[in-house]
Amino acid sequence: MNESVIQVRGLRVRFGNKVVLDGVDLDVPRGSVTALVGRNGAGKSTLLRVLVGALEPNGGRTVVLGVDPAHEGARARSLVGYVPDQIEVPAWMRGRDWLAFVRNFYPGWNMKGQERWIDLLELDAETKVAEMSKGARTKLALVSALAHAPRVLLLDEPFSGLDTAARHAITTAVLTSLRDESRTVLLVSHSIPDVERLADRVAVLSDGRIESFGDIEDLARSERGGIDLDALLLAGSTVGVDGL
Amino acid sequence: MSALTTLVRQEARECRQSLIAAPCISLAVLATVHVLLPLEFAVAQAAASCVGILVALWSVYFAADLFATDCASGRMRAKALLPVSALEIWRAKVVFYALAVVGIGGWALGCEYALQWAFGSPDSRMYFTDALEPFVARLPFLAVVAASAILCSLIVDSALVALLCSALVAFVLAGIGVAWSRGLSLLGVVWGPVEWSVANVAGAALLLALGALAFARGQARFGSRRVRLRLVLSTLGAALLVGGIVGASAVYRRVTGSLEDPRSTFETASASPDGRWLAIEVVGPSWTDGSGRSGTRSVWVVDLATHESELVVWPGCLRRDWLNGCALPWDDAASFRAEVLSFEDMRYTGSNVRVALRDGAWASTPCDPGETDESRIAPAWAETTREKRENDGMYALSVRWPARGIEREFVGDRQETGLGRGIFLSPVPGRVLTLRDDTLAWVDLEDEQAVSLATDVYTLQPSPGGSAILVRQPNGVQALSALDGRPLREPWPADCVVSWIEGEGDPHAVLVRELGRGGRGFVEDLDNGARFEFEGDSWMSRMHRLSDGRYVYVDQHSDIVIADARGARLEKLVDR
Repeated sequence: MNESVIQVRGLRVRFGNKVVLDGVDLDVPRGSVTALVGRNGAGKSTLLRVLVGALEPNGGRTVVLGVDPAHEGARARSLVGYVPDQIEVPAWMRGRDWLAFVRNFYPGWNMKGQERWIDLLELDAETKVAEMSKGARTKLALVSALAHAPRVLLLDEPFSGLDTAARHAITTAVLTSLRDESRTVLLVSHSIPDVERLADRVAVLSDGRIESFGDIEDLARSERGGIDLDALLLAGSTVGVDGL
Repeated sequence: MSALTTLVRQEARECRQSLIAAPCISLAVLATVHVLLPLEFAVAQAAASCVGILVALWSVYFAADLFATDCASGRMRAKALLPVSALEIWRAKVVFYALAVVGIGGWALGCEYALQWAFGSPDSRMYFTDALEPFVARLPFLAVVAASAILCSLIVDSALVALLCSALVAFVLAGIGVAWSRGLSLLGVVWGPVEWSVANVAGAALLLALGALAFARGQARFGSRRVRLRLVLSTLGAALLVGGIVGASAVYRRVTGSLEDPRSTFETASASPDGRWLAIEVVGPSWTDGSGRSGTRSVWVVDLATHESELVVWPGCLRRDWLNGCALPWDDAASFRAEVLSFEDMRYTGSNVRVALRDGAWASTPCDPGETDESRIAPAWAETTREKRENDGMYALSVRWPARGIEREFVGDRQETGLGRGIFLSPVPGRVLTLRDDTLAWVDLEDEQAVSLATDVYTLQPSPGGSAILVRQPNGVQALSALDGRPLREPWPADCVVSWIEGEGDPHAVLVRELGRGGRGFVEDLDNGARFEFEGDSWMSRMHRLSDGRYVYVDQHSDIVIADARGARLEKLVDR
């Protein structure tokens, strides 16, 4: 639990003149579920894109499972499972077509695992992506992220815009994944109940920096730091606070 | 299955509609040609054109669609999340494109040959094959256009816009090709089809390399189109700017015939009355664009005190004395005139400019368009007119002496009545030198007597100031006074070529060159008898005599130097 599988040091990202991440430091221990919260535009998705090597930072250093994604992006992506906030799967493909396409890039792709996740998530993989609901697309992305048995799972707003059933299915899948395979999860979410249910650590991203980071229970009880869990989580909550 | 194969297959699946439509449309067009056109020759020609145009269209269409649709739909972002490098995705795109174009092109070709076999004849197949050749020759250019279309598809979000941009780029590329060809011709280089093909293929490769770089940089920023756009435009802009500046500079240096260029020679010169400035007419090294032109002329002003030089007229030459071809003297201490030449053929445009020193800088302004031919050796005492007679085709030169009311008409051919060639008016009023029937004679207008001065004369050459002439005969060259006809020195032997050295005032200095291998050159001043050996290439170099007796010339090291009246080299005017 003490070994960091994700290390972020002084990470800086800017788009044009706009500074999105301004010296982010973060350590995610092995086997933990870390929730990354913050207001819209705080840079949570940007941080995850940097971690999978899809976005080259302007400064700082990141290491994921011993790999620097800025220089070995393809290798980093082969080691982690990533569910992006927007799932851009060709609309004409069926779910199973997409999985068949993606699995060619992962030597460790587990077909049995794929079917298991499809069943667990109750995904209709024969449906065309164009006809899939947002929840189904998220499930498809989750299947493709989990079927190659990654040691790190990065989830970017997986519960956004989902109904209760879909949310429950995905949460169950994540918990199962954690239980079975001792996977490390970095979760970006605005849903406080889901964060409370899944995460054991919380990092609050504000003004381009990690404002606070620690065990969710410790942060909630901390009087010295004056941190209130609800206020902490609400700091990043503008949508999806149902369940509070 | 490898990642590359998977990605190529995915490309094919995503473009499957186009991959089906393109061959069908190609077949339909070719079949229509066979149905509509009656003659097999016409069918072969039209089918070859159709195949060529279809291949070009499909090449550009697939190139324009290669990235644009993916970028617009977000699929490129999805591919950015696959565990493959950006270059792997790029390779897959290019491989798919090559396979698609070759496949569709091959299909169109195969269809037409099949139609030819079915409905044509051996002759029509031969016609078809021959008619394809011009299109095959243009394939390298198509490669450049296709590569630019791929670049366009990287930086816009719509295949249609990319297609339109590609058409625009094709025109721009054609323009660049024309400018490139023009620039090369100005540099004396003419490219053939092979060179152009190699250049086109290299250009296509460079554009693809730029595209790969832009794509990789864009993918590193989560498929950012802005990054790609910025990189492509900045690189192309910088390349065009640098290339344009370097090319224009090279062409400029080449065609201006810089005074500092050792390949340039000076044709003639004229010094200011105070001896401070020297206007030099420079002829640049030969170049050609296929029209046979050579040597651009330009006029430079050199400060004889500081040796600084400045280009003042280009293309142009010093205003000439129409009778002996020497440069006219300066109008005053700080201005002279020059003739403006056409850049296209280096011919006189009919316009003159006055070059004057104003506020420490040389500036040229147009002269009065009514300026007529001028000569400093045309004596003021005479008026002349020449007309061609209609009855016998001969010319009549009328010489009038208004002060005495005398007019005399000289009839002869063009040569015999040409001022400065067949007839020369002496500075002494009433005296005319004529060269006709190989005899040089004095004619006195008052008593109309003609006195023979020399026989077997080939040519006469007036001195820069008009007070002497050089007369070439079989047995040598004589220098005679144009005032009284007396010899200025002993004749030079026949194996010498003698010519006047131009200069200010009325110098009687000549350059004597010995004929034959290793022949030397000498400078002689007929006024004071000074004689020295010329150290430069006497056959190639021109000399100019300044009013103080010094000489300006190009030495054996191609430097422009100044020597004193005895030939002792004084200083280097232009180090080349």
